[in-house]
Amino acid sequence: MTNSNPPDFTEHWRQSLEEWAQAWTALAQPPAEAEQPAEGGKPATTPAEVWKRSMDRWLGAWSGYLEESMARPEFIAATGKALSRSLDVQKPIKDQTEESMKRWLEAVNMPSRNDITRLARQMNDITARLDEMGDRIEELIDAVTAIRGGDTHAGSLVNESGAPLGAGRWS
Amino acid sequence: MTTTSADYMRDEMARNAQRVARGVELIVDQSEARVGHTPRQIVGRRGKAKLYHYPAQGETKAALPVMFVPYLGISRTYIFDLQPGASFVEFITKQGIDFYLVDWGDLGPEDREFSMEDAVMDVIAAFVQRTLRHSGAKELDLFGYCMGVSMTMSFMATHPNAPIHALVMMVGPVDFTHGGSFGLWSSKEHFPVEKLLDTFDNAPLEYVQLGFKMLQPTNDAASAVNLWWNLWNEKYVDGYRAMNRWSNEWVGFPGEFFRQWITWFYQENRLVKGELILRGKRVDLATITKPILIVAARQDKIAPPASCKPLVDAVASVDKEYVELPGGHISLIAGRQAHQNLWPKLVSWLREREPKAQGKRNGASKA
Repeated sequence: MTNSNPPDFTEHWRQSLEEWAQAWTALAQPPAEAEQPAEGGKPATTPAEVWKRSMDRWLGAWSGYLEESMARPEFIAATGKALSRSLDVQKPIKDQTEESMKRWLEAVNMPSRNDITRLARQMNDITARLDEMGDRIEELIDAVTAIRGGDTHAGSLVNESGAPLGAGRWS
Repeated sequence: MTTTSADYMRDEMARNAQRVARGVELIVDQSEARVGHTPRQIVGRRGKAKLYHYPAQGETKAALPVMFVPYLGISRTYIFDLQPGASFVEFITKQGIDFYLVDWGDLGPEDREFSMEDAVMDVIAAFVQRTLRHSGAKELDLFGYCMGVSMTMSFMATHPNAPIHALVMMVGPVDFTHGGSFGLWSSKEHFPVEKLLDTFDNAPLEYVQLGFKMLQPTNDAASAVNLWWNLWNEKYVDGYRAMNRWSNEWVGFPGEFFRQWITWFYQENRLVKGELILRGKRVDLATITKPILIVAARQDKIAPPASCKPLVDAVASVDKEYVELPGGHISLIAGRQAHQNLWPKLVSWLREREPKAQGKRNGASKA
């Protein structure tokens, strides 16, 4: 997945400069010579196009080079170590800040971040339970309709005898 | 008529003037780009997860609805309905297909315990039922995208009798030994995932963001150059604004899910080895026999083709096809090129497998 040959930046610069010079020369020449009637009467390149192509190539070369560098074991080991060390520093600071903040908030009768997270988690659980109950009620309605001989849609939700089929029945 | 150098210089100067004018407009106009134009409604919920229904458009309606399971966290799902003319959802619904999109929601610190099991065994299972109920169909086609592939395949393996007709798995890594740069960076030896989650509730957004930026280190500079180059073009600028909005809106990655994703998938490669166990059930991909289309993108750095292709051999389906298209992870689904490449292919693949006997569904659907 990585390039075996790192990009040659000197060669890239040389090509870009050559193209750039050619494009400007073509534009600076008298019209009769500059008109390179290629297809559609348009010269092959203009300085703007050369600039764009050069930038694309330059960025592409850098991208390839950086990607290759970041896939090297040395880079991966170094970033892993740096991350680990930064977490070693961050954790105690974070814990201590949270603890002090919690005490301060308690003193002024305010909920802490943990209190709010806990409440939000409870809300989540309640919402999920309500959604589940809603689905169950719909399944039961289908089952009752089937028993009464009515037409239930989504046949997969009830079996022939009208018993509700939850997702568990697919297992 | 021939064009002289002077004409080119004049044209270029005129274009530069347009660029400057549009650039000033872009700086002054701080309003958010409009995204997600296709009409939709919420038809199911499970906690924070929502199931959106995008009704089929057009006269003929496909026999089966499609349920689409994307990645969890990271970014928003409106990428699938970015702009008119460049919207996957718009394209699919215009082909007469009822489209159901799973949106995992804005996950915060309170979702720290949300796990792979919850996603696969609760949410996907409930939404499959919900899609069937709402659409009135007896079966559906299931799409997976990115890590949604691992989730849908896990669902299929743990629910072998689920009423799924066919599977379309897009740019989803399955064999994580070929997981590209993410695979290398998240190796067991070097990536301290437990320490990270011990420090933070969820995977910190800045770290996730940094990981994605590192995948394409010059991407921001290249976008700026391309923007300047196309700044005179109103259509391009509109597309850029929409894409720029999407790429700068990040969504939290629940801690437990992130831990499982890194350790079970990237570090231990359990899915393809048949060692993944969800709530006591083994995820054996060899039990999957439904028709399956597997799509990979040639320039994909998140899910390189080598990580997607092993799914072909892992499943027991007789009717299976692998397609590798030019493009990247996102351009396959959100680029204007996708119109010509992937999307028509997906629709024709589904049409060829559409159940004949079932015919057209009635248009009525139940909430």
